[in-house]
Amino acid sequence: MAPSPILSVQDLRVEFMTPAGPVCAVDNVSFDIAPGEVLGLAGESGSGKSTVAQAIMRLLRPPAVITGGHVYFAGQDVLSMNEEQLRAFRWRKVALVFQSAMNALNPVLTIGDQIADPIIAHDRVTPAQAMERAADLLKLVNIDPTRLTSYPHQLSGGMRQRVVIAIAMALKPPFLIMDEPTTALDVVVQREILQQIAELKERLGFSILFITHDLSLIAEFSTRIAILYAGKLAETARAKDLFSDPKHPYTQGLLGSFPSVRGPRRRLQGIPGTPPDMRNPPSGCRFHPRCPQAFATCQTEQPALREIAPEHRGACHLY
Amino acid sequence: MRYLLRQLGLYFIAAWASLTLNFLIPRLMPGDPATAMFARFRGQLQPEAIDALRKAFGFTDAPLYMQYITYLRHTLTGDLGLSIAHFPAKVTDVIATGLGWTMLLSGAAVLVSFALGTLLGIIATWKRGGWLDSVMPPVLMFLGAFPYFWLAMVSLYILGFVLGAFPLRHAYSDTLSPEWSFEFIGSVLSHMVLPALSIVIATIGGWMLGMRSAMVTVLSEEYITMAQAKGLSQWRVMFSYAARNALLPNVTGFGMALGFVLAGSLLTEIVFSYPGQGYLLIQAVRNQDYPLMQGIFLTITLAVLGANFLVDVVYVFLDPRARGR
Repeated sequence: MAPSPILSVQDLRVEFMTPAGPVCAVDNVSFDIAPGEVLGLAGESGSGKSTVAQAIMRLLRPPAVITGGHVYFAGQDVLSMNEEQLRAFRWRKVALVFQSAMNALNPVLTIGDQIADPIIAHDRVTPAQAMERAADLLKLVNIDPTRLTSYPHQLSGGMRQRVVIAIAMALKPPFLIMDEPTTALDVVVQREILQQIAELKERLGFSILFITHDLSLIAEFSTRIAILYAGKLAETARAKDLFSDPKHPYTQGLLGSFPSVRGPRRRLQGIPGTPPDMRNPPSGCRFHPRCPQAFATCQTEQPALREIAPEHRGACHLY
Repeated sequence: MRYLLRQLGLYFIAAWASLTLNFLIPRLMPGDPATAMFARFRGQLQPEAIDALRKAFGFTDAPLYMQYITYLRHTLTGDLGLSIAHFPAKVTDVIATGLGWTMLLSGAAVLVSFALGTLLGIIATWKRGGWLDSVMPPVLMFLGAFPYFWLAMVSLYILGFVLGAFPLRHAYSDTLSPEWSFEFIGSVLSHMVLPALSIVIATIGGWMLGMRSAMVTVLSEEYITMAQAKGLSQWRVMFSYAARNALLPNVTGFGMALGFVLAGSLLTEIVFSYPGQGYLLIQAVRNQDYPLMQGIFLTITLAVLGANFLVDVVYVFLDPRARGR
């Protein structure tokens, strides 16, 4: 077994308390992340990826409520922390890189202020010292420190995303959650940002939970990959195993729906149908209405996530 | 800076346009107000007053453009003529007294109402569903829904007349004359409380609700979640991240309210017989004191323009996106 995990999510359950009754957005999700590891969490829009990320930092706001499970960070129970413990835990231990850098930055504060903010809140430093560190952080993500006095609207999309990453690095946290950090960017900039993240990880040695809807993005980058479908884990495996031998029909569908750069040209497959309505999820396996290999049991029984190959777990009746 | 200069230019054009309208309108009326007044006051008006009136309207036999130039020159040099009702006081002097009282009363009331209402809105939204959030808006809306003059009269009747807690009329006690003494200032303050209170009660609900709805929108923004994820203190998130952004629409409203302050809160000044702009205006209308009316309209126009410019300046300070445009 690997060294003790830095982050352990166990049977996490998040429900949205809607007027029509609770809707389960994250259903018994469990995973461990070892120090230095990169776990790619992939799934379609609405599969609950971002909800998982926010639940780990306890950022969910009503109507979203964590109704079950545990989150342990380095052995510490995150879900039972009080306000003050939580405030100290956030950003110092786990930082979050947000999806869209435009909306994640406060339009009326300079980026210098926004980088210095968590430093001042967590460390005993003067504002001037915090600003110095903010300048260093900007250099870290290849932005000229004269930009400290710029406002978000004065930066390009790529620069804004770098700023958001710099803010995440402010306290050199051992763990980063990246929630689709490159989705809003064009492919070239996307590439640069990913490279930057990889370099920083090399230098600073943090672990990453990388959330994306784009499997190709995390192919070479992550150690392990977890596939989320309709709030449940469909498959988890080492990255190379998942790409060479996907077990779950949903994973197979995902891998078949984007072109590979190398190898022979083939027709893209796509997955028929649409993601399920979470207010009224399908019976049995939630994927069965779209599954090309579904059989009778799939309609009635929910498959459990279990080991189907070494370090390869899947939730499917086929195995 | 370029943005502010451009705005300043626009306001100058607006000011010129309103000056011109102020000049044209009396001349476009069928007959003219001066003749009507001469007829009404025949025999009662001193010859000097008739002269003053003539001069105020520029009713000389000169061609229109000459009258216009004379009018502009007089206005720009601050010569608004003599008041009929307060003859032989200069219009500028009469307005200056009224303006002082209005700025003191309405200015203070609007400022207090805005600051308090905005703060209530911020705190109520932060503790969404708390008692402040569930009790205050309906109560304040209830109070704000009364016709203002009724609210003012009821508070004057109960607090001033029945309980005798506050003076009934005017800006200071009749037995005192204006001077920088504690007694006089105390008298001014005690005369201010009731009218100011009535303005605050009538308007605070609007500020609170405006701030509340802006806050609700801002709180769902991702940068608020990010600020919380950063582990910042509640105060920092509430003011630097949430309120700073939510304040912007309310500031626009504040500028407009400030502009109308100088028009004198007409009803307030009538109910409380407060000697400000609004009270002067009513008197001027009653006495058909055209030069004074013209002067007051001019002051109101300039006040609205000035307040708008002030808001532009504040906006540039509050919203970096408005800079460098």
